[in-house]
Amino acid sequence: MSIYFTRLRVESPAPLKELEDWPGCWKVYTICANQSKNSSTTRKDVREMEVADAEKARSAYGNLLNRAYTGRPLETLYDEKQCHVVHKFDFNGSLFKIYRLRAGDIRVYFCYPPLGNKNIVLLKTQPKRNDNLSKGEKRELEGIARSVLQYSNLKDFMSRVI
Amino acid sequence: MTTSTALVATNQLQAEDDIFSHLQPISAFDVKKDYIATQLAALMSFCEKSRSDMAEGLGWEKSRITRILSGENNLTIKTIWEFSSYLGFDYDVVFHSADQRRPQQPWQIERREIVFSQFWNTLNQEINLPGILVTQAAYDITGNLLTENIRVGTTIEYEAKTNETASSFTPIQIPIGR
Repeated sequence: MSIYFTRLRVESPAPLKELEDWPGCWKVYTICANQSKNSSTTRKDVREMEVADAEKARSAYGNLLNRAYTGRPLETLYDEKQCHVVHKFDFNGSLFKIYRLRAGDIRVYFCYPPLGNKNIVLLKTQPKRNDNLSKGEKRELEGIARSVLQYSNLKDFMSRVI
Repeated sequence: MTTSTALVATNQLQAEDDIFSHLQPISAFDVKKDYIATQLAALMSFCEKSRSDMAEGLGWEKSRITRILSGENNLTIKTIWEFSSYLGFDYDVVFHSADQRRPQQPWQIERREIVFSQFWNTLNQEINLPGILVTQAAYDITGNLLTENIRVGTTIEYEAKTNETASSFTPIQIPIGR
């Protein structure tokens, strides 16, 4: 499946300053099904939520973007309960990890593509009252991650950014 | 986040970028609370301290550290002071408008020095000129690297420091952390 990527953005109300990239910061991307940013899977995830959950998701994304902006290792900015590995699978002979960020009832799944650059790709966001992932859910996340990994070369990845 | 102090958003995203356009505007104050807490978490990370280290060192419950770093609390000046001074850092309140650069944080400064060190080593290997002079004046007042002002010659100077525009110097670009 051919996919594209676009930067995750959350509005900064005035008079706040936007988070501007600097060389050490993490850059957070969402997956798009086609070359339109409207096809973002994160948008789809959010639009399928109830308003209260969507507001929590916005808060979780804002929180993630703030932390990503620092450039520090994310696992040092969250505690283990908030941010942890939920699934691993073999990719080119090494274990590739999928992470989960917990923000109240919202779960944000993401990965670090092996690009030699500080990129994060959101895989899925969903309200979840139960922390255990079923085999099917793990399989689904792995499938999404593998679709990201087809662009594990930085040049290929950047060519898909819209 | 609550919207108790929601302000009208003027830094509006383009419609296709705004996946939350169906929601009420987010509160600027809540965003700022989270930003401040994030800076504390980053300082803690930069100092290679864990939440347990902080709790033990400050004599606080670990749950207090969790609350402080959650971004949901209205932190007091005293709390920020106790947290930062324990890590050996002072702090200021620096005002800036939305179109001005933010002051650099210690972890960003460390980064630029690593980047600069990498550049310097590369330069030495590739050019091997004696008497090369490097100063930290390559950074502007907010600490951002002025790549366009770096010049290579028998000396390296920066216009920011010398106000010199010697024509024998060759402008180069530094590959910063990519």
